[in-house]
Amino acid sequence: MNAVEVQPTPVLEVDHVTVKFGGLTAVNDVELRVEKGEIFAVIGPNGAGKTTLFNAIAGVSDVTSGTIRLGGKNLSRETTRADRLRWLITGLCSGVLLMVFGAGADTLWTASIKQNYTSRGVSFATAEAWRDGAAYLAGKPLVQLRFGRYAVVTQSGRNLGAADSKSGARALREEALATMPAVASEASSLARMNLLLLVIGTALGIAGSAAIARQTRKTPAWIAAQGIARTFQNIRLFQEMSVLDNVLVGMTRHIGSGDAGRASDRPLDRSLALAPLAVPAGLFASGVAVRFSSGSGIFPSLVLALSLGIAAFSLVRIASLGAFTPKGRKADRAARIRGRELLEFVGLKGKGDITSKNLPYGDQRRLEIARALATEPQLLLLDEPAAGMNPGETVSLMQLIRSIRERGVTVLLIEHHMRVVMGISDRIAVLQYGKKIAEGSPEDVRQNPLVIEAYLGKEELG
Amino acid sequence: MENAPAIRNEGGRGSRVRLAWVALALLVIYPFFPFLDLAVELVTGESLRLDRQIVSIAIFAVLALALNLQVGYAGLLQLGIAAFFAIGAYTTGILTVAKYPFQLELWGALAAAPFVAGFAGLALGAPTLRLRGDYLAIVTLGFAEVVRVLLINLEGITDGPRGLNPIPEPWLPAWLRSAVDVSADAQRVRFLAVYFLAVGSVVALYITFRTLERSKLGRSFVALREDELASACMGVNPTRTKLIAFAAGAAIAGYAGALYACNLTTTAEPNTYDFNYSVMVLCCIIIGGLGSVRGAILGAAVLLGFDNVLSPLVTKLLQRATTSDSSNVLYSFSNWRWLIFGTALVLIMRFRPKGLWPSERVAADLREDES
Repeated sequence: MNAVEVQPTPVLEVDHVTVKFGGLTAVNDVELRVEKGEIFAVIGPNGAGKTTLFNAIAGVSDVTSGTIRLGGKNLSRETTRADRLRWLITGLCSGVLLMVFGAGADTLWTASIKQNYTSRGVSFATAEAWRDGAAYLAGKPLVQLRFGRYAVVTQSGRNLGAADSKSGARALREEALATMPAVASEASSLARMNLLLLVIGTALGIAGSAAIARQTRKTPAWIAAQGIARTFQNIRLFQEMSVLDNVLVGMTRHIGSGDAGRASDRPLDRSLALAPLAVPAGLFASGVAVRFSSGSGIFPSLVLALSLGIAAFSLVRIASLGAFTPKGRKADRAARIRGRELLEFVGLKGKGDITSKNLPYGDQRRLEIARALATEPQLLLLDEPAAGMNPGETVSLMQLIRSIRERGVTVLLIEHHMRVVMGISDRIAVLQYGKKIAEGSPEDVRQNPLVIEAYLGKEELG
Repeated sequence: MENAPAIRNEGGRGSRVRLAWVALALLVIYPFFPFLDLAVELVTGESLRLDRQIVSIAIFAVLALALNLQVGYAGLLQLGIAAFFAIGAYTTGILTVAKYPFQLELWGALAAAPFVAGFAGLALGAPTLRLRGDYLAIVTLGFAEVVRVLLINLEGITDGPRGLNPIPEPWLPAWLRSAVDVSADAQRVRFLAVYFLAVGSVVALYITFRTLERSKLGRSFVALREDELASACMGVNPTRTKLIAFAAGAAIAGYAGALYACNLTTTAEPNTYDFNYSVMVLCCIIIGGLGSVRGAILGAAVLLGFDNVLSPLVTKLLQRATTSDSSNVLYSFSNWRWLIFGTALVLIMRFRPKGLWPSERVAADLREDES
């Protein structure tokens, strides 16, 4: 705490940020430093680039150049080892898929599985199947059971003879590969083709997932998780959800994070994952038990009873954590209590159960603020919070913004209402045509000739 | 003023819960005491075999619930649910039928089917979930066609257009066998196993989904449907959340497919799983009320009930009433059923655009609008 006071790091540093949309430069080389606990306003005529700047900070628009730091930390996500591993797995999956379908999934299946399965009673040789599948992918001639004998046939259909046993046929195949150049070259070209498909598929998969990751590197969701919350100029509530549920969505990241005093959805989420897994896993286990005990004895019955027990238990748990029992209603009560506290804080007490689209306009703005505060941000971005409000509502909004600051949240706002801006801001930055033309206290800005010119036009002399 | 409706709701809730218990009890005793069949048989002289229809309806309801998770909750317009249904059915077929070396117990196949279908959903969803609305619809539609054509043409694997059969009977321990049926008739035991599996799955999914609605994940789904940008700005990861909804929906659809194959004892031919099938499932969640769990189940019951129960019954009654001229096409109800079905759809959309049995919030809003 002391260290912070000695060397205060600004909450937000916008460093030479430029945002271009094609040829249009919406934000041009803007610099801002927002200190902790400040109310900082960005003003400017329509089209000055204020909302674009907001979108850049919130991760909605991409920054063309420049950096944005939150609490000294650069807001661009590093590629982690887990990311690379994920790309590699995706790549390998797509490579294998491309190879299997390129080589012919159908013929591969026939070569490895159908050829090794004779009839119900005879046990299936899994190792043989793998071996034959690998031989197929290596382009080698196939060993096929024909009229009781094992025929050796190249993949292009040339018959190389037959043997009475499988090992004999294999020996015949190896001999053909060694002595007949045509067979050997067919095999190597097929093998090369399959390898090529594997490599191409893997490369495409890795490149594709890396490209997607690159595009979504700085998503709004990630920025929000770093501690920046925002409201929208044109209200964007979850209209069909209740007022309280809107706030609870804002709390998503914190519910279940294990902090004391916060609600925990964790056991619920865990049960939700457990139930669909437990039922089939239990059934599968009993199926395996049946195979090993050949359908008799008490063991399979025990496994079945156990698995059904687990399934029933997890269902009862789900039911008890959900809306079905008094205990269930208790489970997420803490989150709801906190949600209601936030609603009370913004002045929406007792309106939690209304569908949010039915709220009056001013209340919808307040709900947006409550939802943003629910993410527990360090920095709150308010995009024209007073737009469309009557004078009375505006005054209470100003009080609300001040009390948000008292909660320790730094506020950055865009506003057109000069009364609001001048009344509550500690510092103001003025944008015009994407450039910052002034910055300072409300008094300084009010008297700055550049600002007056931007708003009112140049004074004619004489 | 504020308390009065709340009290009424509490009362309504209590009676509804009790009604649900009664319905569940009736479903449990039905295969042992088919009272409706007996009543119908008294009147018409024909058996309804309603217990068999309940299985079909329950399986269809599972499929509808899967689609409701994707379309109703998460707002992902998916027109290819039949593909995942087919993948589930064929996974079950390949893993259990004697033509293949695996010959797993049916229980094992029922467990494997959702995993395979879920993986297919993941593989389809990962690159395409960035697409919105119509585009995703086209991709899923195309995927469903690809799966259907693959099932026909990968003849070595799927045995072509014939379908895989017979799917073996689910294993049950001897004591359970003798407990469910004294005559130890194999078909009867099989039927009872499938019956309780299907009905039990619907109940389990109902509980799970109703709980989901109140959970963090469920709220994220709905938030994403309502406003993707806003929910992203609130810290909900859109890609991850959509992928969960898509893969989970696909997995449940695959499970429904496994149940379907298990009920029919065959995977049915690949052409069963065509575009029409996907649209029927979509119809049933729209009729019931998009995003409503009870609506999806009701929709399945209405749709299949009309087609499999009401329509044959009316046909039989009509035939009895008009014995003189049974060759006239107009006297056969099954020739009218699509006309009636279409008219009913139009009427429902006109008079109940939110569905027959919408979720509580929508229903409350509608009441509010009326008053």
